[in-house]
Amino acid sequence: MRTRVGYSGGKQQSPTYHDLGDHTESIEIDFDPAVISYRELLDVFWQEHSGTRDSFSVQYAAFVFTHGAEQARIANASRDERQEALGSKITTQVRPAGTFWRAEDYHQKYRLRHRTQLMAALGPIYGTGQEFVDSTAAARLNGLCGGYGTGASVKRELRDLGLPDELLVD
Amino acid sequence: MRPGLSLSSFLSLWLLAACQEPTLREAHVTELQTATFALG
Repeated sequence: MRTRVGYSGGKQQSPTYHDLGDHTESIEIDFDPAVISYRELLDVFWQEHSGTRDSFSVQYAAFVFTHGAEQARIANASRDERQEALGSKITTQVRPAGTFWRAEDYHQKYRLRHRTQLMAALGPIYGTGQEFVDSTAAARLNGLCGGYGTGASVKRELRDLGLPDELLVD
Repeated sequence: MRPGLSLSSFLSLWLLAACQEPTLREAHVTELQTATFALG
């Protein structure tokens, strides 16, 4: 999985954080459907925001930006299920994705960027630009730095990476 | 995890593994899909 934050949903060309125009802050995720399904990503999305309050601004609105008819079908179905489960109207909109504009580098992997030692170790491997932002390692480490994951989950990661057993002895 | 192994040490080990990411994790990936969300 690879992630990056940026701006989408609007028509303004080349938006920036200080000149966002009609765009909304959003996250783009590259995922392997053999590992995690789009529906599973949606389940996490619905868990991580209320979906029932009106947005205070376009910048912080809630959207599912869909890529293709199949994603739109799944997203609309999951929204309807969520709405029925909550008994409240879901205000989060489902709409086709347009251009995704990458946010400035200093917004990317924000938690990880504040870990000097980890950044120093990652630098020689990925640099600090787009290759770093788009790396699976940076995405996962950023999540860990944000408090998501445990020692046990890191251990599972190591196993998934196929390291020699002697490195995984309890 | 080995008793006494700190999380930072464990992360260092994980980082070592991450260096091999392109060959170990993603060699089998033939087609990634994209999803986009705005959390509000």
